[in-house]
Amino acid sequence: MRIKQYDVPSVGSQKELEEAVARFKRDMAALIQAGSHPNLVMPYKFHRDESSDERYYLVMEWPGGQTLTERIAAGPIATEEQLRILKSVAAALAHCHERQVIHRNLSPASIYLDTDGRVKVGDFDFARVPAVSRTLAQTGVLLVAGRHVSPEQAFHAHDVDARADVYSLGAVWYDMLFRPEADEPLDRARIAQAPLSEDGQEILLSMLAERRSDRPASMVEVQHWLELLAEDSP
Amino acid sequence: MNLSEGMILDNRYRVIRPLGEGGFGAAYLVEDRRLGRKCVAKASTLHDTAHREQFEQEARMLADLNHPNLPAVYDYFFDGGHPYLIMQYIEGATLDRLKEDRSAPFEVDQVLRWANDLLDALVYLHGQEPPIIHRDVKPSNVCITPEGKAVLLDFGIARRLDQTSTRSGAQAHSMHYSPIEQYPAEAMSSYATLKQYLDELKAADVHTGPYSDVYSLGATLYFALTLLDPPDACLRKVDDQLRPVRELNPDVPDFLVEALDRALVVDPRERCQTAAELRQLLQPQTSETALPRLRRRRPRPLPTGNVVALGHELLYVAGGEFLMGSDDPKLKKACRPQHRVTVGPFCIARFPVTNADYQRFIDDNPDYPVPFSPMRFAQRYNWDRRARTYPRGLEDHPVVLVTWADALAYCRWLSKVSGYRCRLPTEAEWEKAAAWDAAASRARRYPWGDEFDESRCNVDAHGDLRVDMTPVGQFADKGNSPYGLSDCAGNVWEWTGSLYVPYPYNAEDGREDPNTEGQRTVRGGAYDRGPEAALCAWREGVDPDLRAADIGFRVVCDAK
Repeated sequence: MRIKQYDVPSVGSQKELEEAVARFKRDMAALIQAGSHPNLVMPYKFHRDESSDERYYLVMEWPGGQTLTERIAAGPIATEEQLRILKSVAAALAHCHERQVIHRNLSPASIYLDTDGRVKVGDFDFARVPAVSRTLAQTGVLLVAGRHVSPEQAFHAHDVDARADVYSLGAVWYDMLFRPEADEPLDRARIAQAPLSEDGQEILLSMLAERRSDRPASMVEVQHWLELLAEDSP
Repeated sequence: MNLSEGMILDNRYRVIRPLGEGGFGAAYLVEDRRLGRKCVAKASTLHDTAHREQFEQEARMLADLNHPNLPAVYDYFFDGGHPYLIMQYIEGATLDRLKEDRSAPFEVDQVLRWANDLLDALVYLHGQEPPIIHRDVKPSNVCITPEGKAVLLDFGIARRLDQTSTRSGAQAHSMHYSPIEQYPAEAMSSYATLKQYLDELKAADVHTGPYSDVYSLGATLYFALTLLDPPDACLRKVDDQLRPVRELNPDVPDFLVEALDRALVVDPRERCQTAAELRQLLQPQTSETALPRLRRRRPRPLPTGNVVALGHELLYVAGGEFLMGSDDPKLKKACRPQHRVTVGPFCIARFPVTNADYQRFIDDNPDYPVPFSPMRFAQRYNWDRRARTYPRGLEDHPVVLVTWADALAYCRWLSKVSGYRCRLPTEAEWEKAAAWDAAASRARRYPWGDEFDESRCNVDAHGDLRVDMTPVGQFADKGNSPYGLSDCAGNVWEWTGSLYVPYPYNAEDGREDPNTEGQRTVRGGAYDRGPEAALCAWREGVDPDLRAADIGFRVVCDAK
């Protein structure tokens, strides 16, 4: 079992926070109710720290193994292995999206590879506390918008949907292809040099489209493209 | 740096409680023990002792300000190496706090009053020499007092416009409320569109300015009217999903929708440029009671001398032959050659139609659209579409942003209410009235003579793009034509009734047919054009649907 601690930013509207917490509870309940999924780190329980209004815990399955971040750091990943990981993550996210749950925090750090090589997605984010933090923006410091965060999420759009996860999955793919440094920005121009078929490059670019209406409309669509790509590759 | 209750600052101010984090530092409610009043102490985290001088300079600048919608700055000092500002404590609640108790947006009238308060404050700040840009207008920086007044808080990051030396962090922004130009391009490297756009702005030397506060204020008003944070400007650049304010709040009137549209333009170059301009867009319109319509007059006999038609002084030009066009080989072909043309008698207005003139037409035709263009160049000349009034202060300026059809409609209306048969001049009539010296039997190059003279007309003589429109008659007398017309050269182009087709001029060849489609000729040059365009023989063709900021018209009437 694993316990993830969430510390809530002290600045921001109480109402917004309450809404975010309520939504997260609802999301986790939806996932628990749906039963286990082979590619999902199962959540068990979400609760507030009794001593602090600003601290919450999520109790979840222990995924074991290593994170994809660690795996990427360890060395290049073969193309078919990349596709296997992507398909597994897409399957988990499609499962979530079907239940109206958006992950909001997908990056190699929230993808686990267990000792049997199974891919599991965990670390859902509950508040809108993405890379460009409102808290920090209020104190006048802007963090660089991270590579894995879609623009609508980085800039606190009111309605983040499944396509935000599509974007983040694109960024995970990018990381596996180019193994960039942690704080390196995403460089779409590099994708033309990726060891991918033309179709593959196009799919990746569309997943990373800045305007969400230019991205694949759903994770199911992404799964479909990844299947075709896997069939094509030798 | 955390101050606890009871601590004494500068031997004078006792800390009561923290008020929260603001731009670049924490704020505390304190009691001034000497004067026995509550104040706000703002600690600046940006200034350390090394920036002491800069802080003092800024504090003095802020202390100089005095405005009912801004908190006063009373004092500043250093305590424990940290700089503090002591400011007036404003009772009340900030807009974002007030929102939490609401399920419906704030009342439109209330929002408009707040908007006026805040714009007064911004106009005041921007009017300082050099201008002070607030840079952080947002709901949590707007305090509503118990009397319902809006006060703009937090000068934490106010900067004089000329102060280009920015310290780390001085590039401040508040999600949802900051205009795009306040974001650093470097932070957007993962988003190609944004990065490229911000680099482009930088290259074009577009930085924070008064229009930056205009955007933030617009976003704040949007919030008050919808209870929603508008999508951030950066996101809007990538994918503009700003929901129309009317969709969220059907009570918002047209003029307010328009004002918000103008303020919330993502590109700073296309945005409403000043707080004063936004304030004008938000002016409560004048009473909507219908004005009495002007009486229609029976047609009058054709004049045989000067007449006055509803305030337009119409000068008599006898019929006869004159020389039209020019043989000057330096002029474009459309203006050549000089040739003999005969026109009948007519009366032509001494001055172009002014905004005040046009207002009577608009008042008398309540459904006729007012001069308005969404283009940026038009902003200062746009009429208030809700109040249906000309731009304030421009009553004696020529009316512009009128199409050719508008000019014809005005003439038809003037005919009805004056009894004279009014219409647009043909270009032959125009040129004769502007250039023909009947006594010498020759055409002048300019209305006053053959030599260009900057002091006799309003043109952009040096190509510096800094010339603006003047009231009509500014160059009366010394700029007049032999027939006594004023403003023929420069200031604004004037529509004529004629199609823009090659010479020789022949009124019977269809060029005066109002139903033939095609470009119409404009005459006389303009404030944004050089001396050449102001030549009496110069002609240009313009799409009749164009609403230009430099095209107006004058009227003629038939005579005998």
